Amino acid sequence: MNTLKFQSQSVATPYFVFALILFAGQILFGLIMGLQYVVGDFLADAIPFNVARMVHTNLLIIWLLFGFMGAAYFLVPEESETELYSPKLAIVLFWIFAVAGTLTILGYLLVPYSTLAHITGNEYFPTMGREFLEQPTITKIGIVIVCLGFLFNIGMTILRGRKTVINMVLITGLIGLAVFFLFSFYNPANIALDKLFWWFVVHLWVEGVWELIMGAILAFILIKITGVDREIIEKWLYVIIAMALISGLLGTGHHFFWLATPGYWQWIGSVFSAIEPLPFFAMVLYAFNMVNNRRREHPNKAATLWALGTAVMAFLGAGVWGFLHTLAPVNFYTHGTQITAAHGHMAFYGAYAMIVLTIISYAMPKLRGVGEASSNKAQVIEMWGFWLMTVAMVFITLFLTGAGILQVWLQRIPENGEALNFMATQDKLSIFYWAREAAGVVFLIGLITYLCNFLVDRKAVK
Amino acid sequence: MNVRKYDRKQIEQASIIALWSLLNLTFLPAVSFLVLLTKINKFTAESFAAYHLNFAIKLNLAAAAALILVSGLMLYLGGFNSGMTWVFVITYFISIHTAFILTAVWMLVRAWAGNKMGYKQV
Repeated sequence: MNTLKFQSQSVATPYFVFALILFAGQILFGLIMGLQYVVGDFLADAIPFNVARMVHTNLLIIWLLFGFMGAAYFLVPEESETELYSPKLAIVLFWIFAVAGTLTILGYLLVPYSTLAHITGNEYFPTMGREFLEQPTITKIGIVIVCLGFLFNIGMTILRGRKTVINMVLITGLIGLAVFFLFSFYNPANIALDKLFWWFVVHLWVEGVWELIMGAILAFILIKITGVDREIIEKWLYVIIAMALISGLLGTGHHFFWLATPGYWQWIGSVFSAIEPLPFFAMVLYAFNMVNNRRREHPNKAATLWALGTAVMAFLGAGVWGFLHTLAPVNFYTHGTQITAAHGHMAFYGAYAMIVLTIISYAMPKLRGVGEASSNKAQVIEMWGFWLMTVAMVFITLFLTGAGILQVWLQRIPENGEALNFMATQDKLSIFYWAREAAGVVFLIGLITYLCNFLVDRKAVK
Repeated sequence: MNVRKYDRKQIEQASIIALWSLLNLTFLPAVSFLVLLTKINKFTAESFAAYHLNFAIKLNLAAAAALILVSGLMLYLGGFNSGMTWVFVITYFISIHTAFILTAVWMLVRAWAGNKMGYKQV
């Protein structure tokens, strides 16, 4: 049964499917790396730790970008009440991005990183070698071209259709995403300066413009599943994005604490970072409130669960676990420890992986022609996937938090030469890493369960 | 979906109570609890506000016990000079504190809508 309002929305399908494939890859490499923490020789020759880590984090970024693009292609025509400006361009860009992304990941896995840098001509325009931005320069240029084409397509669709708050917030976030990525091409020789501008990409993405994208997608889903007036949801959205930008922009200061910057950054970073949990707190209040005051019972219960789960987990991961180590006097001891890893895992899963899974949950039954929602059986399996992955992520975060606290205790706090060195400390943390790996296996089981939900309604699709 | 059984004034009173409860768990601990205590005996026993006040006081007392007493007990038993004590105290404190905050947020939303605790209840 075709329930798509605009046929061009169907271009979102390959984006969502490819995003889920990359998500599965990310989890596999996470598990390999998690095991290498405790069994250092595991696959060490085939996939060294640094390569596994690079693939794990790069796959995360790429699948989230695919998810955001798919979300935009699904959401914008419906919000604008018009067909997508160019479905063909969307498909062409999909293939360019998918091929470039796959080749880049294969490059990481098949040749030494230095060889990859050489064969992609990094010496002519050096941008490689920095955490999360390891992509060869040519891939980065490809990302910029794909983003420009994508923004053109989405922008033209909005221009010729209805302009809603959701569309405007979404396109602002997407433009911000493209603009801040340009800092990845600036690679100063001074390492402190390099790190400073590196945060302009990393921080202003995840604690700035990505929050706008997340807010817009969540607002769209809440309107659809609750039937609450658009005006009410839009007012909340304004408040949330205002808080996100006010706190997030100067909150970048919490990355400048130890970068040879003036001392006032410790005050600016601490004060504005302390405000950063507020937009996530508001999102919980808003999502709970909208679902509680819903005017319809949407048949897609799984999408409702994902939407509420996103708000709660984003508050936990980005808000609470971010605040945990963001004040300068605390961060003096905790920066770069497993506490950061704990925050990173739950924040990325809660805020961004879950919002993409939310829109996939809402959109996929429509895109596959199943109807407004998947069958009850498929939804039950999907909700099992939700709970397994989410509970596993809570435990991954708790174990990493425990590891981080002990790491600070052993490695950072002792004075007069009593502190353990990094590797000796890591040995003491192995129980936490084993527990984290076990939770990671549960996460993988959850992911497989989640993916199985797509098999249930195959007959309805045919 | 929700049919409001209570008038605007009752909902407003309950909402203010739920907000003080949330404030006690977040920005204004202790002072907010004192404000809640001053509201005892101001409402009839069967009123909507009394229900939320009763819930708020119990929730905050439970939070105090779970956060202060249990954490204190952990510190007493584990000692200040053990890294593992801090592992348990900090992870426990954050997790439980967040759970209480989320409960208070839920109660605020329910009060705004003229509802009691249960999700299905109208």
